[in-house]
Amino acid sequence: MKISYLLFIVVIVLGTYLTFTAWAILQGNTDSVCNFWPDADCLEAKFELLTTLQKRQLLSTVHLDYCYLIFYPLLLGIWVYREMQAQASVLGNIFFRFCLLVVVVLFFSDITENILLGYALQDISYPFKTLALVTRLKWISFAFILLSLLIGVMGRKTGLFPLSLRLKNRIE
Amino acid sequence: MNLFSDCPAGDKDCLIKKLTSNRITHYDLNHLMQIATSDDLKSITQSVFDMDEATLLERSAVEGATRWLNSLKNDRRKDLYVKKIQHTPRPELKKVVAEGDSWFNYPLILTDILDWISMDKNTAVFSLASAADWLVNILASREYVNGLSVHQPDFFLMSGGGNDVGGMSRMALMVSHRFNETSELTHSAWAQHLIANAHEKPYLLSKEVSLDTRKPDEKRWNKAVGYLSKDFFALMMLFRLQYYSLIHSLLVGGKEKFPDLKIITQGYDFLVPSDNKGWGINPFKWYIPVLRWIGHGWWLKKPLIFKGLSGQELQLDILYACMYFFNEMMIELEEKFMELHPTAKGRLFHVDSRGLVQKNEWTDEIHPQPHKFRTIAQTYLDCIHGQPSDYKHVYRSINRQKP
Repeated sequence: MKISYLLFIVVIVLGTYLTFTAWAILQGNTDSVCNFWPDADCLEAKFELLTTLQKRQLLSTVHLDYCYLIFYPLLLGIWVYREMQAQASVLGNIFFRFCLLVVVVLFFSDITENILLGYALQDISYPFKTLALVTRLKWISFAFILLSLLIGVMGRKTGLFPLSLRLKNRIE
Repeated sequence: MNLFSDCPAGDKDCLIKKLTSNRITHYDLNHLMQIATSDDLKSITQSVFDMDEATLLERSAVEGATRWLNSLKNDRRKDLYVKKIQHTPRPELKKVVAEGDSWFNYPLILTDILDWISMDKNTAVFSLASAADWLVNILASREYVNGLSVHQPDFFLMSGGGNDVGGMSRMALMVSHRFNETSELTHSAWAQHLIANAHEKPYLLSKEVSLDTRKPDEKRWNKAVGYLSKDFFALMMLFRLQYYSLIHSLLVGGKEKFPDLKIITQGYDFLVPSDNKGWGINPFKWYIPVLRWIGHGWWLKKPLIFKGLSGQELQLDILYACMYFFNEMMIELEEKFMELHPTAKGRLFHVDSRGLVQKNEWTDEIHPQPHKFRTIAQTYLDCIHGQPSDYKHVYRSINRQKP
């Protein structure tokens, strides 16, 4: 299976999740806001509602998450790298090299989120403020990368944005 | 013995000895260049590198993670190459086989020269290049011969020599620890001829603002030339012999096999010795401190410090002189080759990148930032697609720089 197909599936799944979350936000479901763009208060309130059994179940999910969160930034990184190598304009090339850095930020924010969530679920500490911050960082970096890839790939395929090297040379 | 030679006729050992001690006459060097066999080249290489061939090849071999990453990048390029050539042949599509070092294959983060060339839809690149590869290794493995035979390309791109100077702290051998009033240059009629050549044959083009653009910066050159050791000049002469042998084997020896092949050689820019970690606030340059963990400082700066040459300006001037000389050597070699073999005219080119990359535009000591690699790639593309050259067989990257 080609990496691009795999990435396509990952992007579709996460894109669907984001769409439903956004829809729920528009419907006034505050839980979705808390999932996507949380603050310390909403996280704390949500956490207090959890039973011991739910905490245990969540903890096993968090452990499972580690495999996933190593896997998907790696795939995303490969995709961004390939896109960078395909960008014929200097600006596009520079931009996607910057996106590689954002992938690293995404990876570290995701892993930090998991560690902090694990602490809270094991009643070791409750750093809700930091947790909210890294969750926001995770989503914003993820959305940034996806949007960049979308624009980059579309631009390259259509040759409209950014201008391809050949087109640019022709105009010049 | 004849008037121009210091050695008895046919005494190759004498010629080789003279070469390695930088006491060979210009006549003898040209003579040796034409008669040297591959065994002679091996013998000269052993003398210049001061180690036997097996040890040299073992130490210079590209292994481990670098090898794996090199092959990953080359495999991807091969896919792209096949995609481009699999459809009906188009006259404007040029096939290229490239062999060389990290300027052609930098496997991480940087977009190197071949990456940029591959983006041109009318150029299909088959890459055999490997980061950290030495010219001596490239010539010993002769991977390019198979590549050229299989693909029958229009162009063969070659970038080699940088690691032979910068690998294994060899830069320390290229210099002496103190300034010699009588520099090694004065013992080499060939080296003097090269510099005279640069003075007497300026780049004369409408784009050139000055007649001096080919001449060395006298201040920098004079400051540095006294530090260049006999090993440096011996290595340059070895490069001349190696490149001659390679070009000869393809354009003359292989004229039936590769009747239309054209060769483009690579000249590098003035490398910058530095051990600066590259930290800064520009998030778009985040990769510089990351990549400077890999070998940065150890290729050029530290070997010069080992020799007691710690001054930053002096180090820059020494590398200026080295790279200036390397480019002039390549330009002169190709001129000489075309003089000896007129059929090679129009089939041999050199990309001169001197002066293109400014001091703050380097990723590390020996690699420019990607936008500068792009300008160099544009120079190659101009050559590949038949744009006029800047000077005889020379294409200058600095003339492709956007203001």
